[in-house]
Amino acid sequence: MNDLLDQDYSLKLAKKHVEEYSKQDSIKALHNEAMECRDCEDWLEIGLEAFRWLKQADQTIRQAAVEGFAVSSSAPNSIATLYRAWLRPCDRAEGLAKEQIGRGFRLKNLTEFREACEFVRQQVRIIDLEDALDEAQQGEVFDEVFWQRAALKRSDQSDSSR
Amino acid sequence: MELRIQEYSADLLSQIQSFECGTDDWCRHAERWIKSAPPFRGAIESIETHGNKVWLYFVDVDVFDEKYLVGFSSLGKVKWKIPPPDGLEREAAFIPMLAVSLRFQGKPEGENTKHYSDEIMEHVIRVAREQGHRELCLYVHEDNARARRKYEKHGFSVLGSKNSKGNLAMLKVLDNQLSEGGQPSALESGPRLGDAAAL
Repeated sequence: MNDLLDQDYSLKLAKKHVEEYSKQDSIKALHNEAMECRDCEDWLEIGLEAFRWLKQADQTIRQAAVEGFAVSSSAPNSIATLYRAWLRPCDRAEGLAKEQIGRGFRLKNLTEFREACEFVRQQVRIIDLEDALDEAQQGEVFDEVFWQRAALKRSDQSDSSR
Repeated sequence: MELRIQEYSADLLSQIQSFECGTDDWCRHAERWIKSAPPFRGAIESIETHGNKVWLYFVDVDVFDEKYLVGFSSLGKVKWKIPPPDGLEREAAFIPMLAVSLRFQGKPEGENTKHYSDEIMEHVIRVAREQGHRELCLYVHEDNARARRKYEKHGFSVLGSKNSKGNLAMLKVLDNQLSEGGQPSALESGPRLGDAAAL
């Protein structure tokens, strides 16, 4: 009789432990997801911190140049390179952030991070426009075809004025 | 209010740091261009490197004894070679940058008033003509429809297909006299019409 009771008790204990173990498994999975979300937030924060430093450096050096202080001639290129480098991991960070949102998490710094991304993207587009202006000033925007069409246009105008 | 024109130089940099003309990329580019000091690329650097002329346009408000920056324009030269890449070098006038402050965009109040942008365009075109140039060119971003309409209104036509940065090359022929004085026309020494027909 005692043996039967012991067996029953043993089974109950075992069941309780198995259930606990299973529960821990899902808790662990939830914990891992939460940790991943925190890691993602941390990563975005590192990006934001880098962004603040970079923006500050850009503004400070530009202002120094405006105020007539000596500025290294390599500074504009260095800043441009850093903006481009900052953008590189952004798509992956955005992908990871979307995964967290899909799991129902809310990232406290995502809005600020996205604003930073847009700001840097615009800086890079402006740098491209500066390159384009340089090319134009070198005459590269105005190519052979352009001048041939211009010659035709002048010819049309002088014909119509005769 | 009448525009007062002042040639731009480095000592005016501090006066234009609050200039704003919009939020589009080309507006931000224009703002940065006029506000930057070397070694950063911009108006001052373009004056020093390319010999460009840059003008600021102000209106004076007597009541407050204040002046407001309406906008700016610029004029430079582009070089091109016929036949490319090692032919004779020629020059044509080029507008590197032109912008009107957000505050002064649109038609000013009052009868018979012109848009400030039109006054600024007319000034640049007049100077290019006075310098003896026969062709005036510029480039505009393909998405910048407003600027493109403005340039077309002043006689510019798109002659170049867009380049890799999305820019369209535009040109205005400044007069119809093929052999008037001043600098030699880029086009007079350029490709013959027979060549152009092969396009």
